[in-house]
Amino acid sequence: MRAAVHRYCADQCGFEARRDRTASRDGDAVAAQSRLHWQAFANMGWLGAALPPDVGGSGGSVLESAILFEELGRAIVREPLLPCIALAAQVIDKGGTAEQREKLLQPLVRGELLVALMHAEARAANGGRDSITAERCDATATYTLTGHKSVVPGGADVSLLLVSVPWPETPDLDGANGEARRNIFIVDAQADGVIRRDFPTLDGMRASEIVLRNVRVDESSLLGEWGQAGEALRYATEHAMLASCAEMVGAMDGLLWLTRDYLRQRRQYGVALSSLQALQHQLADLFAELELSRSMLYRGLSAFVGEEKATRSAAVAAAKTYIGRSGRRLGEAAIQLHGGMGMADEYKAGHYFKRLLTLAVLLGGLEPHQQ
Amino acid sequence: MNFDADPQDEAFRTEVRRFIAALSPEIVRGKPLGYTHSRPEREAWIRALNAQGWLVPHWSRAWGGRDWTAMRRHILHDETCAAGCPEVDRIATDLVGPIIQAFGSAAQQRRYLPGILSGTEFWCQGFSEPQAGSDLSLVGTVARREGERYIVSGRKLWTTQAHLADLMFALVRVKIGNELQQGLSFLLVDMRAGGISTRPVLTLDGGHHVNEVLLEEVSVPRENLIGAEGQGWTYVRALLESERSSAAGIPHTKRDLRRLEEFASSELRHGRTMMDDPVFRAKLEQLRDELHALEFLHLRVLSATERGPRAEALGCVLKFRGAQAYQRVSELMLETLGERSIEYVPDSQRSADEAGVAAAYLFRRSATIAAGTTEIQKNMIAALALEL
Repeated sequence: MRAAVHRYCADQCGFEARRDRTASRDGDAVAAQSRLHWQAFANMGWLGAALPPDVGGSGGSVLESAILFEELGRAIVREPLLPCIALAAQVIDKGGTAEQREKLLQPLVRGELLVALMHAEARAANGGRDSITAERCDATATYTLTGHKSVVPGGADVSLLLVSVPWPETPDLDGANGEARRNIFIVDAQADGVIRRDFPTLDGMRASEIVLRNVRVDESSLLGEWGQAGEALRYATEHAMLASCAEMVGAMDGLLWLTRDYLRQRRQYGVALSSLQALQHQLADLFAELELSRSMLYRGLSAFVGEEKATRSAAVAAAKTYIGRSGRRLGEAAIQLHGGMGMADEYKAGHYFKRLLTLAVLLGGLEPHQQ
Repeated sequence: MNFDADPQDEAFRTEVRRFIAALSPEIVRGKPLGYTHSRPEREAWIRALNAQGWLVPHWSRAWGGRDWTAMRRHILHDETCAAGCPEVDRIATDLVGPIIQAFGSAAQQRRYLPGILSGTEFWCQGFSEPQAGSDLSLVGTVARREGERYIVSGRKLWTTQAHLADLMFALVRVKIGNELQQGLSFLLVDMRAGGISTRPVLTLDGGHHVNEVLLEEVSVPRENLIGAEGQGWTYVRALLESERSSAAGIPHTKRDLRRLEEFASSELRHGRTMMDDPVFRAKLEQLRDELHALEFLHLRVLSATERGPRAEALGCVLKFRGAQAYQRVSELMLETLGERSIEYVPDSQRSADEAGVAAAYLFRRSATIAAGTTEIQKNMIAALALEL
């Protein structure tokens, strides 16, 4: 699988193409290109790599995700695989009813349906409470969703949103399995009251700010059983965190060797920069960052597939924080070692760096995790 | 050396604040983080400062210098930066202006200095080239001598504000007949001369700050040479010293530290503000202390009471540690905003400080590269202070 992903990325997702598409003002052409890539991902089985066979997946686990995303990171692929495949698809797989899994995941694996998760966040403007709420109307058996999320990666590309809300509003009321009770609603991205502002992100990709203004959904829109979405949400979030760790490791790996090769060919003061011991030591530090990050990824993966819940969450959170910080450090140092070239937006190093920065702050940021 | 609080200095600080407050809001209206003032905005500010006699206090008295103390210069820069005033053309006032005064002919002084003082002529520095970065001895731009003119050909890269500049001071290699001179020469070039083309080089923040300048058979009068052919390096050495202290960006870092505190007081993480997070507070305090130390180092360098190679090395410390602090404050802003920092907002559309955080962080990666990389500063410290 690694070799296949690597080959496709090298042939079809080269850096020049990425750079041109990022700079392009022809949105339609870029979208058409994205659809072609997405169909190719589906045909090669990437979209279902970590989904079970009953929905058309190949039955792989988070390990297959890690392999896929490491290669995507190395090639800085700019399609919304992380929010759709590593996160939203996993939410549906773990939290959906048999019928919902079949109805949503089969077209998703075929590349015909894209989904993103819109998870409530605590906001200062909201008194520190979750920013999305659902209100039930017993008479009509419908729910009204209201709220706001400032960053939804992939939001511009999907036709369905999974809206995660606390239920009931008292967050300390735990469900049967010890998770805070949550519900997830499946919402048509085009539904009345879904107001979306798409924006470019640092890494040349897109995300959306989404406001829900009295969006009405009926009971069939509830994913899985009432109040039971917490566990699926946590599982999927951790799966996505590990996938993003793998993508960062892939990007770090690509950036390290790019930097090494640059120092080999750049000559100042009559010598190749790579012959200077001070710079060799800096590269050695970056190698240490890379391999410690990779080790931290392996630790997170091993905890995720094996251990019990508490240790698992802690190991995944630690991996995400560690690799995020390490990736930023490696990126900053790689830019420095490139000198002026590192600052040029038309050069590859900066694209790696900006993808690393973005991944580092998504899904739990650089600050110490406090779970 | 005495940096005790002087009542006269405090009176001067008040005077500066009054002066800024009295200016029209078009000149000093607070601009969001990462905002680049337009050239007309900068020209208006330069004129106002010059009318007050504050544009070039460090120049010779004959050209408007004021023999100010280091503290006074520091206060002026500190206050104008805190108020969000535009940048003057430091490439002109701090780099080429002093060189023209020290090494230029009387005619060159009369020709170029008034344009700097009136803000009508902006400058750019044509040093770096594709192959010559840290190592300027690799400069390959050639000025072929033909009668009373030089015919200049070459390629300059990373040239800050070349797209706004009227004039460039360039390092070139003079060629007489078939002979290429060993030493570099310091030549003033009119950016409107035929054969010059400027191409933007966008940086990581997506902004247009630097350029590639192509010179193709550009005809430059011989009278535009500063000093003697082949002696350019002697003049540049003096310039690099003052470039280092202005590149340290300390007043900017101070201003941004206040912005950071504002962000951190309103951003919630895990149910409390960032300011209430002890880990974040520790990082903030560490940066604040670093900045205090840098500020006094800056005063020591500006006052120039310490002499010799070791004192010169202080400027190198100031440059690289100052640049790191300037980066550090934007790193902490990025951490404070978390995932909301990943929105890319083109600079023309930034209305709030928040929108410029990522761009500022990205562009500031150049602070430890431009004007002498950190690695070069450390080499110089090793040579100058440590005698290695």
